[in-house]
Amino acid sequence: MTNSLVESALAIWLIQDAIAATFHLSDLYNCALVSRAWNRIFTPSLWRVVDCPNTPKVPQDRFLLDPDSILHQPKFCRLVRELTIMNYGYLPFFQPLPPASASPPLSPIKEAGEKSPDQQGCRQWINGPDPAFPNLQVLGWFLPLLETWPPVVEYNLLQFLQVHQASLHSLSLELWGLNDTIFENLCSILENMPSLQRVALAGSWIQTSKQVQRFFWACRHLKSTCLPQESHSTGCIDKYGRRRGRGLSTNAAVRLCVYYNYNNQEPEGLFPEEEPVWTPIFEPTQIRSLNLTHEVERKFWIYVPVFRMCPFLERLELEVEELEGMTLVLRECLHSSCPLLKFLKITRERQAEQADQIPLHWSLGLLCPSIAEQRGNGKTSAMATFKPSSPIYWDEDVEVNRDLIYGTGTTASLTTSTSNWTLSQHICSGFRLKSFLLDGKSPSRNKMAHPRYGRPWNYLLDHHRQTLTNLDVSAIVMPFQEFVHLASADVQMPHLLSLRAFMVLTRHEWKSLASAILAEERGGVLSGQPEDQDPQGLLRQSQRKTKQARKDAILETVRFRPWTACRGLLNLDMKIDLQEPRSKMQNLEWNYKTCDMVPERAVLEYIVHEINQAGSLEKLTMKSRDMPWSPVLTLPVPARRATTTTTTPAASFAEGVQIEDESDSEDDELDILGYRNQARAGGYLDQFSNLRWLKEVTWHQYEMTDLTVQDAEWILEHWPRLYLLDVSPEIGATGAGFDLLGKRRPLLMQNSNWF
Amino acid sequence: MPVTLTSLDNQEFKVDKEVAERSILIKNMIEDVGESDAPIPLPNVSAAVLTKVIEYCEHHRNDPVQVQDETDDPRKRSNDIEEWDMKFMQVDQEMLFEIILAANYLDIKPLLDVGCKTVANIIKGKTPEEIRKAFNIVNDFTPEEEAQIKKENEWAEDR
Repeated sequence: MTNSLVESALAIWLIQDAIAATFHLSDLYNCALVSRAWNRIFTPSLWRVVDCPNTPKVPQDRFLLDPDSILHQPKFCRLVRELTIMNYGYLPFFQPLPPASASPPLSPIKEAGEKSPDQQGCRQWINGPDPAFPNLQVLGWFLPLLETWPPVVEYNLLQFLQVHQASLHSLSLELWGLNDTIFENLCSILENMPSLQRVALAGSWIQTSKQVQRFFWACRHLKSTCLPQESHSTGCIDKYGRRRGRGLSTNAAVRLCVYYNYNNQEPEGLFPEEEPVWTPIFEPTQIRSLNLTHEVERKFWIYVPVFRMCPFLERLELEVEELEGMTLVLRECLHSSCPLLKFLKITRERQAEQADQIPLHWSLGLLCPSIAEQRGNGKTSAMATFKPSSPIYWDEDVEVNRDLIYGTGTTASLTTSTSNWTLSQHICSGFRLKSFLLDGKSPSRNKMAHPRYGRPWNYLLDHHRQTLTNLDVSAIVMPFQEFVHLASADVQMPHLLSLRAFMVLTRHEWKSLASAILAEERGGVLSGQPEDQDPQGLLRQSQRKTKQARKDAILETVRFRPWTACRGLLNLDMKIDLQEPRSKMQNLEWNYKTCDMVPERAVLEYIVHEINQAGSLEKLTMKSRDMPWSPVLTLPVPARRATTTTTTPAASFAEGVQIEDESDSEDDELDILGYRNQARAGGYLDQFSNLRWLKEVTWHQYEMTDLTVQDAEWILEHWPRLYLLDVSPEIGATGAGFDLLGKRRPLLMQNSNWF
Repeated sequence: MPVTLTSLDNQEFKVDKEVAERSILIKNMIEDVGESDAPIPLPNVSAAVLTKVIEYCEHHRNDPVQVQDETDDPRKRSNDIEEWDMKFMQVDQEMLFEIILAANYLDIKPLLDVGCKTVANIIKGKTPEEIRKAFNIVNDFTPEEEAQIKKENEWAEDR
């Protein structure tokens, strides 16, 4: 390969940028030292971002203050696109320090004829072209709160901004207290920064409501704005004229905004306000993205004019404590004022209490349909994921298509099936859902699954089954028959790729499911071999007939069905727990280790068989703390292999019947050791032979049968793409099989107690 | 409907229009010219490279079209490469850079990204000498130049 080919590729800025995108600074440093050509290529990337607080290699005072410092050479200054300054002491603008003065210095902007004390030093430092960083686009300026420092810091900021105002695109400032002159000058500069698109402010430097609105007006041409987190009124004024402390109520800062937007009429649904003070006429701003932090004591309707001034708003992030009041404001404003909104995120610091969570149907009814309808421009897919959780929370999807949105919200107030109906109706309208995730925090999660509440998610699935690709209901514990209902043909989800579920199987379900399997077999649905051609079939049939009368009574509870909805799955994540009768669980001596439920082998085979039908499965996760699953991931022993002629659950049911017979005779219980011995006699690994695309297997149980060499060889042969085998039982899982897997497939990641 | 692409060495490739239109360049050409059986010349891409590019496009023919987000910060991108793409990129370095240049020429952003990530993964964590060795590059710095560059950039050095 010729060097010219590499260099010609790297010389294209798009390629160079993409390659350097994930480099650490040290990688760029190394690249610049490779050769002259590479130095030319990578030096601009190396100098693009100068983040002083995170560049500890060279003392920052030397780096920035030393007139001979590299950063003061124009050839490097012009390469700097992003500059972050943490402490003004690092910046040569502040050298030499002016003497402390009882009166604040005059503004270098408004009163251009009079130089501030540091101005001359600043010019001396630059010592080159003006501005110092001609291509600077992003500036972060974070200053500590120093009570005794003279306001020269702010003057130097203004000076710096003025010098660079033509090129700056993004500005992040942290300031602590500004006097009126400096504040006004800052707003003037912000108004005259033609390239500025984003401003983020932190600290406490806007003292009055008038300043809030003045600042907002100054930012009206920006695309993105972040209002300061705190808007403190001031209790004292320091010797330089800066206000400090939290002496006054901050309500004053928000009160003034209300009546402008309501034309002095009391808004319906909002609390009346007493004194409209300042009602200037504002033009709509160009802001598309807005970050707001709401303090507890602040009134909500400060945001009404803010939203109405932002008709082009597309992204809104709110940090609030009292959600209910904010919901009122959102209902009032978002529909009419911000029709382009497509991203809404509401967060709160403290954990939400149930009492003040937003009713999900309310917020969804108000927000989602409007967002979905108004975004109907053919380019968006509206809300692609819905995730009810606590508290309400909207976030961006991580998929490549950044236009997708998913939402989360609480279902706290939905305690009745009627409410769930409402919930479902709201969820079902207006958008195509691709992903449904039920968060574990959702207070009403148990009700979501229970048939008693009308299986509310079924309404959701009815509407979205054609688009759903990801269904995660692992946060709720569903009865096994509910899972079968979901996974079977009852709910057709042709595009479903990922399914996560957590189910419980009761003793009753074990038995009734076995009966259902038998019933299906008798109907000839699953039988791999006609009964009349099977030499043992007649015998089995006669045995079953004698038992069938007893089982028919419970057939309606669980019906056996193939999991047709899972056929195209790529990811299946199941957690199965066996559930004892309540009377047993209430016994103080009971724990899951002593669970003596006897599984029907036919049921295990049914589940294994249905998993095996998902031929495209790439990721399989199975978690259980119960014994029946212990031997599943091992091969059957030869004796059992001989008796099991087919892999269909129906054909191997005879064995299950025999076990069941024993259990029936012993009042539904087997000796636990007896079961274990029997279980160890054979597993089901050979019944996963259809899963040729399997890449990840996670198999977590309390106990696992040893993995033998034969098991490992089977895995190597039948799962050629496997690169992760995660078996972490609390006991067991030893054996030579893991060694063999490690030797034959060194890149296979294994996680087990054996290693 | 198939589209015929002609490589640098005049070899013709018939591919589905859907596959060919993974390239924004070809897509725009088809839109400009309209329905036509005339082959589309790609004078900057050799047959060997075009074969690989078509293989990539075939495999990703059903992928959603990436939407370029203006807020997308390239520095936040990860270096994760999908398994198939990783295997696809297991070629010699000459072919790797040929594919990158072809992806850039044909305007196939996902392929360009994968190629650049592959190169980035080769470079990351290596010393200058190791990088030279990996790409067969001769160090043409004089000792003085090297010392000067080290001094200028010492703030970025990982010690």
